[in-house]
Order: sequence, then structure tokens, then C-alpha cells
Amino acid sequence: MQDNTFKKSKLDAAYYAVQSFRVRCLVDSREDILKTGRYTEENLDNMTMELFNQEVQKFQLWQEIKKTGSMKWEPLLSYARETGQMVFDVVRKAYEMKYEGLVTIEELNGQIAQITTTAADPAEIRPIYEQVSKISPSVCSGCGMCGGICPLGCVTVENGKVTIDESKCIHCGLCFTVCPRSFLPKKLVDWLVSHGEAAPVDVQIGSYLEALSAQTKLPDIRAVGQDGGIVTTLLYYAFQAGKIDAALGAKVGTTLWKPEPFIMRSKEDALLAAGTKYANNPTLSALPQLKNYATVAIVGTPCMMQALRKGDIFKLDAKLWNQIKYKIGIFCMESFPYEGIVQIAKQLGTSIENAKKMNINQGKFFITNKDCTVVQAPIKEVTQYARKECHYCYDLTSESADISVGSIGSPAGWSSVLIRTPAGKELFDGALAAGFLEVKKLAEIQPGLPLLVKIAGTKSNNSNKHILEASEKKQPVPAYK
Amino acid sequence: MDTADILHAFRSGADAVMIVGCKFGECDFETGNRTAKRHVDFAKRVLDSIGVGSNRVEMFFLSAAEADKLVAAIGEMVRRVEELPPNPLK
Repeated sequence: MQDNTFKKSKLDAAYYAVQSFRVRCLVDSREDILKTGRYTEENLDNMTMELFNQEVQKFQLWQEIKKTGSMKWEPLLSYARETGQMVFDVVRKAYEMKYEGLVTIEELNGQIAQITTTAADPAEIRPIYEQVSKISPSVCSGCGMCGGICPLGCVTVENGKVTIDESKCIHCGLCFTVCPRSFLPKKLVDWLVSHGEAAPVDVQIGSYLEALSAQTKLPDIRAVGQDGGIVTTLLYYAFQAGKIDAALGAKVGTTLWKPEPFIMRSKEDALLAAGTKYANNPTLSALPQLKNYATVAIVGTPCMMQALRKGDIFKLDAKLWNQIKYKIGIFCMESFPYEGIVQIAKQLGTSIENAKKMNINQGKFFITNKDCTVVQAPIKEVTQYARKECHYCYDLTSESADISVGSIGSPAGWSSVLIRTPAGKELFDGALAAGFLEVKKLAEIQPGLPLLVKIAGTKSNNSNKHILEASEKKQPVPAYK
Repeated sequence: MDTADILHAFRSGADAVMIVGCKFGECDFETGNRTAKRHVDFAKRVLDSIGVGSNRVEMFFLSAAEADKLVAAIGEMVRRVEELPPNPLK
């Protein structure tokens, strides 16, 4: 550390990096941030230094590309080797510079072919790191990540809408960076989840190691689980085996069928969070409450998994990402505002008070009442109540998760499971070895993978369509490339 | 006073950087000394991170009447500079 290294290029890069407003905001507001208690001193300093280091490396990369004006793939690999960086990290910085308007990236056959500098100056890059409210409410997923990461706690996500307390906002841009609807390079997500393409990447359902169909063997969970009771069983096992000391998910609060973020501390708590809640809920806004736990699992929708993955990719708050051991994603086509769920119950001839279970299956929305009668309607008739903001999303199966679970493709009482990463595999195999799960290969099941892929394709086609329509009207859209 | 100013001094060939500020509660600008300390603390982390070393920068809090303390502070910085290799970017 005190090794007297006075490399001019490093000093120059550091000189620019400390002026990057992303770094400055955190330095200037350090006391205010620590006062809120949302970040420990160690977390905050680590995050600031990590951001600083990235700005240094980004500046050095920009200088390197500027020498000749462009950099092709092979020289990029050499550059990574020479500077001791992972290729993934160099590519990520190139994408950041692309969103900042400093470079353009040409791809060939899905691979980066060339990075070319534009005429823009790093001193001009401030505009892209706006507050998350600049993303436009019409596109917001309601995941709550902005609310969770804000160092000052001035972002509130309620009923799927974001509000920012302007008197406290320091314009650090963290909310914008982690938002799944600002920019999300799908290529980087696939790369990270598949470990540099060690695992295959399916165009419609992302990268996965195994596709299974499973059912819980635990009667208590079977009684409250949505389909196979898999998510609850995985959490139950993780607590029992001491693999986690907390889990963040959703539980119905004091208002019937209205979910709220819920921090589980025991396997019994996991049972309280069982069952699908179709109303939108900003689970990730509760992230600061996890800071004192050692290892946590997070259960959430595809947008939430994307937001967590973005935090991973852009290395924000390093300690928190190391704590999040298991990202359990659920399948999701769309969510509904709470009032929408109330309306749907009425439309089906029942009420929120009478509803015992809700599920979507075979193109229909079912409500099972407390008296065990069942009412239903085709999805087409209730989709009008869904959040339009959800229709920009391409991701049905939580491609950013460690393990994804949902009903599509499996028969009643079973769940389809996509194991995506070694962490996901460790969790699932552990629950299986503990005798908590019955499992089959999804390939041996009807309707199985083909249906899952088909519906995933429908969602992603709809996403493309909506993005195209909105772009033509010059409305803001998420950047997925 | 900004972290960038400290780094710029090193880019320009300084062997060490010394910042002198009023004691907390005595600042003419109310919080100028706190802001400066915040930036100096960050600069130390940065200098360690890039290999220059945090002991080349220091901040001292004095009032105008404490000439003896100022002399001691300067002496401290000079001692450090004498013990450390010079900045090759001079």
C-alpha cells in the first residue's frame, strides 16, 4: 500500500475518478448517509472505494481505446490479461461507457467485434445517471430496488410508483444504476449466470444447468404451497441446514391479499410467506434491513432478480452482494395493482374476503373460495387489470436468478424448476438429499419444457412489441441491449 | 478543498501534501473544515489504493494563535518527506 508507486497514468485516472459525481456524491454526503443507518461505515466506504476503482479502470480503458480510436475483441482480451482484470469486468466497463455515450459497441454474431470512442468527454457523462424517476413511471417494475439501495432512504416505492424526496436526494445515481428498467445488458446477465457460457443459454428461458419438475414431501408445506411448494421447501431446508440466517420475500400484510416485504428468520417464518401473491410488491425496498445478517436468500419476481443481478454486475455495495447467497426467482407474466386483484375477484363473482387461493393455469385465472367452490375466467378477460408497466419485461422465468420456480410446464401440485447456477444447485440438491423433495426431469413431463419455452417466447415478443411502439412514440423504454 | 486538488498536487510533483484547517467549531465558513477533513480521509484511502501511500497527506487542525503547533506540524511533514522516496513526477 505504501509502495511509492507514482505511475502518471494511474494518478491521472485517479484524478478524474475522484471527480466522477458517482463517487463525489457518496464522499460529500458521507455523514448524512451514515446518520440514516442504512449502510454501516464499512459498507459505505467499501462501496465508495469500489466505485472509485471502477471509475479509475474505466478511465484507463477509455484512454487505451482512444490511442487508436477503437479496440477489437482480441486486443480487448490482451488488455484484460495485461491489466489483471477479468474479461467480464472489461466488457462491463465498455457497456457502461456505451450507456454514458463515450463509446459505441459493434457486435458480430452476438460477440463484441469492436469498441469505438465517440467524441464525448467524460466530463459530460453526468446526464445518464439521473434519478430513477427520470426513467418514467410508465416503465417502472415496482421491484423496490431503488428504494432499497438509496443511501439516504429518500426513494419510496408504493403501489408500484416511485417517489423521491428532493430535499434529501444527492443525485448519486445509484437508483438509476440498479434499476432493471434503465439499462440491462442481457448479454452480461447471460454471461454471468452461465459462468462465461460454461452452461448453455437458451434464447427464451435463459441459462440453466437442469430443468426439473418437483413437489414437496413436507405435509405442512403442501398445505400452504402454491403448486409444488418448492420455494418454501428450499427456504425451509436452507434455514434448517444453517445455510442462511435470513430470507427476504413477501407475505400478505394486514390488508387481505396485499403483500408486503417480509424478512424471514426461521423455517417457520418461511411457511408464513408461502403462496403466490399476484399484487405488485416492492420487496427489495427492505434490503437495508438485511445488513446485519451473514447469509441471506431473496425470493422475487424476474424484475427483482434483474435488479439484484445489476447490483452484482456493477459491483455496488460489495458486502451486500456477498451476503445474498441464493436468489430464488419465480415465473411471472405480469403483476397487478392491488385494486386490480380486488376487481378481478368481483368480476369472477366472488370477493377478496372469500378468496382462499388464487392461481393462474392453462390460460385461466382461478380463485378457490373458503367454501371450496372455484370460480374462473380466461386470462384474456382479466389481463386488462394487469400493470401495463409489466409488459415491457421480456423475462418470464427469472433468467437472472440462481434457481427459478413456477407452475408452467408441470402438472397440478408440481412446480417446474430451472437450476441456473452452482448456488442454485447446491440449495436444491441439499433439499433433495434431506428428503424434502420429489423430483423428475422436466423432459419426462407433459406439457413440460415446450410449453414453458412457448409462453416465455410470447412474453418476450410482447416486450419487443411494446418497446417498439413506445420508441416510435419517443417514449422512454428500457435498454436491453 | 477537494480530493482532486490533493491528487493534482501529486501529479504536479509534490512529495507530500499538508492541509491546515481551523479546529471544529472555529471555522469562518462554518463547515469548511469538516468538508476538508472528509476529502482528506477519502484522499488517504485513494492514495493507499493507487500505491502512493496515505502517509504523504495529512490534515492539521489549528487556530491562528497556535504558531508553535503549526511549526511542529510542518516539521512532521518535512520529516516524512525526508524519510520517503521523492516523487519521480517532478
